[in-house]
Amino acid sequence: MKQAKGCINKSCEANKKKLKYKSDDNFCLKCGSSLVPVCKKCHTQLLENEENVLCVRCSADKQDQKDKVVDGAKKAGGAVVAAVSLVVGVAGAFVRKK
Amino acid sequence: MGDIVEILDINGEPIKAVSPYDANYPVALLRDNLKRTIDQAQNAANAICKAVAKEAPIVSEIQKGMKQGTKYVVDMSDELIKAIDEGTIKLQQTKEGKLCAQLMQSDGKFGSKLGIKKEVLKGEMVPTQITNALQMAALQEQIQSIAEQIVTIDRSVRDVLQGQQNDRIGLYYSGLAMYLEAKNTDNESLRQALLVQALRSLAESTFQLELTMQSDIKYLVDREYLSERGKKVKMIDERMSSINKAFEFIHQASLLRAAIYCDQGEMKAMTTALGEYSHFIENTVAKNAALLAQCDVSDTGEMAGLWNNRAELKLDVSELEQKLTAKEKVFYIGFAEAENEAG
Ligand SMILES: [Zn+2]
Ligand SMILES: [Zn+2]
Repeated sequence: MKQAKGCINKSCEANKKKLKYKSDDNFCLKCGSSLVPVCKKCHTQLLENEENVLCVRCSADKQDQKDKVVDGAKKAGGAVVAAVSLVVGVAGAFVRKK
Repeated sequence: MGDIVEILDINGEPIKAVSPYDANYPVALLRDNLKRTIDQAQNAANAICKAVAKEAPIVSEIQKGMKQGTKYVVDMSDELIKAIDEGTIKLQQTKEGKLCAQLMQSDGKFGSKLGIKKEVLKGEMVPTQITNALQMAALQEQIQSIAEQIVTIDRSVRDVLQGQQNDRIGLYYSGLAMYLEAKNTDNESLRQALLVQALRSLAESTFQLELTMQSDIKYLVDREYLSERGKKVKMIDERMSSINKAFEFIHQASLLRAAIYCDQGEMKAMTTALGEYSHFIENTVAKNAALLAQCDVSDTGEMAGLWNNRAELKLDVSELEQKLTAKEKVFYIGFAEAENEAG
């Protein structure tokens, strides 16, 4: 994915609205300032030629969300395992009773 | 009310009084001390100008006469005024600590040294103090520029909200407390001991906080937070809050140290303290500003964004340092200051 560009002129409408430009656009259509690569999510300025389309913090956030989904799935799996062992336990008790 | 410092605006006008526990205190104290030092320096320079004007004519007249074999009667005071006007009079401290003046002769060379009597100098300054004062007068431009740079840095650092304390910050407060105690004691040796302690505490606080800040930055550079499942943003935010806090107190402690040295008339030590701070800004703050802008939730990444501005921060003490460490202490005195005094 290509980096988005944005206007970082604080007094510009495009900046206030966090308007995103294409990566090959060079100047802001509202104020004429040079555009810089920005985070697609929060509009923080990124370094030129950086791989990321998100800033450090936003990409960490994205991975956190992913972690939560994965962990959620694992938790669900864990509950199944516990249920199984409970059955075994009951079965075991059953056997001892015999 | 001895502990309250006035904040001066760019023209040296007081804005409001500041308590020592206010975040404005170090910068206000440093500006206050710098301004006072420059004022004193100007007074000393004026006094010396007058003293030289009073004494030098006779000696130069004799000198001139001896050299040319004939004694010319010339209006030396006019000549002297011209000499001072053209900056062709210089003051120098001899190895013995005496203050001398030298006039530039018509051949462009400086004549022999003329001693300046202590009595003609107003106040009770010893030659070393006069030399220091003159040095300050000569360094006004550099000092003014440094003061302005510091105000810019100060604004940038204190944009950030206050957070919790730690023991390194505690060291700053104990340094501050010792400084205030030193200011309130009449016992000279106790005062000196307290100042040494205060300076040590502040230096230690700065050192510890710089280590903390560097390790926090390294954590972010090395992306160590990636191993924290589901808590990456939380870890980044914690480190950023620690970094902002550390920067704030490194700033306060550095300025307070500089202010104390300035107050003690130790301009070299003051410049060294500011030089260390300058080095820190260049190597730790400015160099990592781009990364920190991406990590700081309070930074919007605008052109005038916090860390983008911090990347531009600099404190240039090199010229001041150079002038202070120059071996030969020679001061050229202009006439303008004496004129101000007369008018
Ligand atoms: Zn714009
Ligand atoms: Zn972002």
